[in-house]
Amino acid sequence: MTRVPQALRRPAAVIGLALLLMQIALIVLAPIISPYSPMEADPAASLQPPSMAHWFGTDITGMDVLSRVIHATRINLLISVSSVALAFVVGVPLGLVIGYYRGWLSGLAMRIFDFVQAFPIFVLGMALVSVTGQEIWNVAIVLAVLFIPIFARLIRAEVLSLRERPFVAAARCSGAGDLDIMFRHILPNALMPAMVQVSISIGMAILLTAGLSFIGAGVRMPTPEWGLMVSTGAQQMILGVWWVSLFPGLAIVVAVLCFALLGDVVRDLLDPSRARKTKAPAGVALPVPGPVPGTLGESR
Amino acid sequence: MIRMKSWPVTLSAMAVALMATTTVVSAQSAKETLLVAGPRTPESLDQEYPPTEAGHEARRNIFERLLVYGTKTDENGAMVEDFSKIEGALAESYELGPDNKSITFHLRKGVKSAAGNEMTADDVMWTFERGWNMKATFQWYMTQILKIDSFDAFQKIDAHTVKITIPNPSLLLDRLWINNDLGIIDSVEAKKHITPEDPWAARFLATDSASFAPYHVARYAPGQEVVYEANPYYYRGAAALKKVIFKEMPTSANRLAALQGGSIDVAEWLTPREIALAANIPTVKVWKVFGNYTHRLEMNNNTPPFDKKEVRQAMNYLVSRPDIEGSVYMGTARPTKSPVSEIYPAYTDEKFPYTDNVAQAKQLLAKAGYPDGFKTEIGYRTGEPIEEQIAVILKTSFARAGINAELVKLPSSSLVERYSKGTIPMYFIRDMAIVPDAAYVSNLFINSKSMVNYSHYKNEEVDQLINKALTSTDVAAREADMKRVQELVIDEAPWVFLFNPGYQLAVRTNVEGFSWYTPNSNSWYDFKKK
Repeated sequence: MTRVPQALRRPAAVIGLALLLMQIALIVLAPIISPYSPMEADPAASLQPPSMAHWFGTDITGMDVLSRVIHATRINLLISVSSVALAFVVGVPLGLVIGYYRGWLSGLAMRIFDFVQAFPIFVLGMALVSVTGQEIWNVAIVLAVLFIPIFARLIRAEVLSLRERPFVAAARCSGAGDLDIMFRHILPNALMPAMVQVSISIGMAILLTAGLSFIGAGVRMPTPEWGLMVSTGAQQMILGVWWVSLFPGLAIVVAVLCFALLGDVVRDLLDPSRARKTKAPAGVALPVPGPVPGTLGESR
Repeated sequence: MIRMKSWPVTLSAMAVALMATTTVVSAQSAKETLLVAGPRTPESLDQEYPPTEAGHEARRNIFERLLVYGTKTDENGAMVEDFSKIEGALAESYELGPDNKSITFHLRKGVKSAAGNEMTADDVMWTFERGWNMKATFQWYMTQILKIDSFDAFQKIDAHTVKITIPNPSLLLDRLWINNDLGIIDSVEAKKHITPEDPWAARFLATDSASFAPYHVARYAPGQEVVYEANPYYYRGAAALKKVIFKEMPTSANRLAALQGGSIDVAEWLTPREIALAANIPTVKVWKVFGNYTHRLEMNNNTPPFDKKEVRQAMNYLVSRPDIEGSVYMGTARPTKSPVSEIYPAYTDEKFPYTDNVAQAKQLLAKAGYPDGFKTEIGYRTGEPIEEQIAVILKTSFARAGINAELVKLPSSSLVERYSKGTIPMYFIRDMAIVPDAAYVSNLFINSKSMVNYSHYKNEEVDQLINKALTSTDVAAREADMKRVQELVIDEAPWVFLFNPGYQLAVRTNVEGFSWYTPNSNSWYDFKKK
């Protein structure tokens, strides 16, 4: 019988994985388990409070909130995962190259990252989405642009330290080329912090997607998306209509919490020695927009 | 000892007297100050700037016109215009030429602006000259409605008499001068701000006021607030409210919350659901009038698929108007069944055939060559929750006939740019025609030459009938022609006819004196606080 790693036996890990499985189930089964169409208005059923017919109530156009919350899992995770994947695929090789070669190109890349990261994140998001259009893929690309510097900086920081290590010198002496050294020797050793960052970034992406939609720069109505639902519901709060915003808001909390917990799990799995040193269960590291602490010192 | 004791008593008495005086002054000041919240401050204070809802309200208060309609009280106690009575305002009286080709204004004497300058014919002539040369709003009225082709049409007879002569007879020659956009400027004050680069004081009048109106602008901070102060010399007597502070509060829910909390006295442009809630708040009174708006979904008649009449008709057959009326408007609106407002003479809805009929719509789409529907876009403005609700409902409605409508939410300026350039196939427009005349309304919205006919609807017969009516004085023939125009337009359906949302205003119960004018703008002169 395979022994379950210590990192996966912690309560936080169990909760994180359970939430992830729940979300995957919602994504796969959305058309089956949703009681109504998520984009079909029914004016006759406008703003109905939670009931047996509509467990989460209906919004102002009569769309079923439960069905929209379920279907929004697809959209929100699609945007978040794809944006982080894109940022990873672009940011990691970029960080590897600028860390390995350094020089003026590396300096230029770092200043560009400074520029992107110094910009207020929502202003930049709004500007990019308003130029490219309110499409799902455009939102994902915008988020990827915001995340690329994070991954590139992380990898670069690792590479700057690794490239001076004896095993790199040994590889070079044995005749390995730059590409070989970068991708076969350095990259596998530099990936760990980026892997942890993937999970944290997905949580950030969920929050940012919701935030962009809340301020009207995300996806279009009536696409089921949590931030957009919170935004449309917020207008009716004063009328005593709480259910339109509350349930998608809770969905955001659950999704972000899930990926924050998973970030700790990934870290513990990739670095068991550090996990063992940590006696107390890993805390929940809520994602903070902006550069990851500890990477700034490497910027030049 | 006695003297020692009397000091505190004296001081106390003085303090009480001071407090009492302050309280009285403060109470007086509160009763004379009105706090209003609306979605946006006016984009400009100049009459030559394109008309907007916020701009109209500023014009209503900081400009005075030559003529006004008489007033009457409607069934809810609101003061509304009586379109059958035209009365003097800055012009004490007027005479129409026997052939309706000239009008002579006899200006009221002793009328003063807030700057203290007395009005003369020179002010009126300078206003006309400015409008004519700025080639915007004023010139559009003169050339398009009165068909004037030269400034020679305007003539100063003496210091208090002005005459306008037009090439063709017009039934609008008198009532046009009631229009909100045709206020008279205090030329003495405006001329102080003229420069060689700005011969018409456009920069000054965009951000300040110079007129003979009940109010002048004391502070104009776009995006924040406008402060109006009463003109002490106003010819009908100074306003009861000495100061009106208009605050920009873009979110309607915030305006309602502020009204409920007592931090403002008047909340403009609440949504129907908020109006329903406000009506149940004991400290709030809601005024409702039928109004003259048409809220419609225009289609670009020049581009496929909306270049086909059958498609446009099909779109009208795909709207469940009772459902929208109930869920979106909460019963405060009525379906629009003509391009002309229901409260204007010559209105007819007799030929309006459109009901919610999917089978009929599918049949029409098949006939037009779109049996499986098509893909299109619907544009609506940010900050317009009602338009978003209707757009979502219509998207579902249209999908029943295979029409896939993408919803595009745009800032107002971007949407205007797109429909002006014809780059969006469907878009919402909420508009009203200020002059209560079917020919005026039709000319504005559906004459193919109109600059606001964004749907590019064109029908030779409609154009001819409108142009004929604009230069005709035969009331009966005009009415018959205008009914024919409505019949043709309803059949050819340049728009998806939606609703007249009415006009509602929520005020604190200590605010009295609601009045309604055709531009749907509040005249603070008519209001007072208890």
